[in-house]
Amino acid sequence: MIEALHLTKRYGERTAVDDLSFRVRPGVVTGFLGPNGAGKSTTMRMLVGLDEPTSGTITVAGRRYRDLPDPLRHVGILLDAKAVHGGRSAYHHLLALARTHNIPARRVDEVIDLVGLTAVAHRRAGGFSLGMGQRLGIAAALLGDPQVLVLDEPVNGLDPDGVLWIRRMLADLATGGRTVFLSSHLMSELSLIADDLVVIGQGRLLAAGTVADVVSSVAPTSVRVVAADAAALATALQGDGATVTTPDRETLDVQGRSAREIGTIAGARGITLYELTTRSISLEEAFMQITRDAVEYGSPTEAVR
Amino acid sequence: MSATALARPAVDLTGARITAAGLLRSEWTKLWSVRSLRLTLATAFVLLLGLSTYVVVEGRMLSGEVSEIPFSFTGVYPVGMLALVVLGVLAMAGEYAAGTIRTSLVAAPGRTGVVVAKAAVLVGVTTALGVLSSVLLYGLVQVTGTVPAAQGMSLLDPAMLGGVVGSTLMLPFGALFGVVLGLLVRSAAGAVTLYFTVFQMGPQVFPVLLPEPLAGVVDYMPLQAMDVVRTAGLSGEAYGVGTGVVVLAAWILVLGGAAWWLLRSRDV
Repeated sequence: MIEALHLTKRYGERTAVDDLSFRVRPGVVTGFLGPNGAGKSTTMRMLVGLDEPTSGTITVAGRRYRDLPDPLRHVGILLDAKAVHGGRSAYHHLLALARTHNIPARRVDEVIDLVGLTAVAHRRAGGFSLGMGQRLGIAAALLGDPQVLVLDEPVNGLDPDGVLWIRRMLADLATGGRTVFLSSHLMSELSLIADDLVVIGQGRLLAAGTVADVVSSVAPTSVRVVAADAAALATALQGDGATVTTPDRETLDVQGRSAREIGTIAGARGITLYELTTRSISLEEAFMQITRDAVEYGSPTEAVR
Repeated sequence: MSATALARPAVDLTGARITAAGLLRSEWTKLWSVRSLRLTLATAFVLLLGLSTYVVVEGRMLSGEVSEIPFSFTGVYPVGMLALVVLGVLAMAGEYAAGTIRTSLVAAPGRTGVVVAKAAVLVGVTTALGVLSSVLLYGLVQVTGTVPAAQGMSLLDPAMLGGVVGSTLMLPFGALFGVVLGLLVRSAAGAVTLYFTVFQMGPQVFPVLLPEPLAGVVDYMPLQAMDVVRTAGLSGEAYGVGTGVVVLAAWILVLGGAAWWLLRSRDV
């Protein structure tokens, strides 16, 4: 489990992460969502001790990453796929990493096989494509067979094959019971794999919970009704926490009642319905609403593209 | 690839954790797995052995004089040292250039261990190659007989040993100094520039720029202290070998301490 408590990071005047608190549950894929520059990478770097928080803490299984005697056994992280010496082979890059923890060389062969780089394992990594670099980064993250996997924008710049490969890989890892925490500025990407979401903007927490919770916290599901006697129906639908708004004389937007309930109530009163549609907000729309006020760079429409 | 393969590695990983030996082996792997590092190391010793052999076979120093100093065959070691400074810089600052420093420090978040292991591996390798070179060259001197002062003199003779050991140890010192500069500046180009402008050319330039009473400070620059140590006190400096060793150690402690403090406190 990953836990951030009042996590704050300032670079001089600029506050990159601002009093951020959240939990990442084990056994599910958690998406870390926010526009570019929201503080996602900074948070991940603080998790593994590359950046020191200005205040607050972020811990893995209750401990600071720096205090772990065997950090690679707990956390695998993919921050920057190009963090490989161009003159070193994939095999030796991983071997040097494995040796810090006395992980046997056979495990290096195993992860290379796992990510499908066996054929190029002894070639200079400088000639790797972005997709191969990403696979190598994931091999490095998997090396210690960690319980927690953290990936920063893992599909950024990948071709469709690579995207599909990563998506399958993450699904497999979560099925295996691991904690998977991945960041993206693309809601559409996360909606395909994430169970939980942590949404931030300008370093602050905007929303957290399951994908459904986060979406309905923005705009609860509503039902649009077009009826002959809309006024009478509106009166009948009131109560039990339901709210009814009337965009025009024949139309009602109802929250707090299902389409089935509305149809039943209308039928009981003999009111003719012309239309009965359940409208749920799309993930993309939800994300736009949540982050609308928290976009640092560019126009809002650009940032959520 | 399958979920079961991901869930359960075939290799037993229990007991895997960071150890000093592991960090050393990791740095050993890093040193030998990059061609540019191997080439720089090879260049240093090929230059050193080649030029020294020339000097020995010709029987005169590069300046043309016939030397009366028994360990004069080590006279071109500063050239090898220079290449080893570059090796140290490349090995350390290269991690920042390639971004592998983040991978390294995520694997060993204590930070100090990675750098100490890297320095230890370089010092170990260059010491071993340095000792081997010196022994080979000493043997060559005995065979060719072109350095009369050294003829028949034991390698352990005090007149011989001090200069040979001093010269030999300048090689790992250069590599270590390069690591320190590389860590301090975090850029290979920056560290090499710093070395050449301040430490290599500085001693010639500074006396002109500094007011008269301060000009003597230049005698305590690393290369000057190195000259004292590698010539067993025969160079013109105003102090002896013991002081020279202290001066060199102080440079490493001060610059290394500053670099270490920055390593601990800066974000990577």
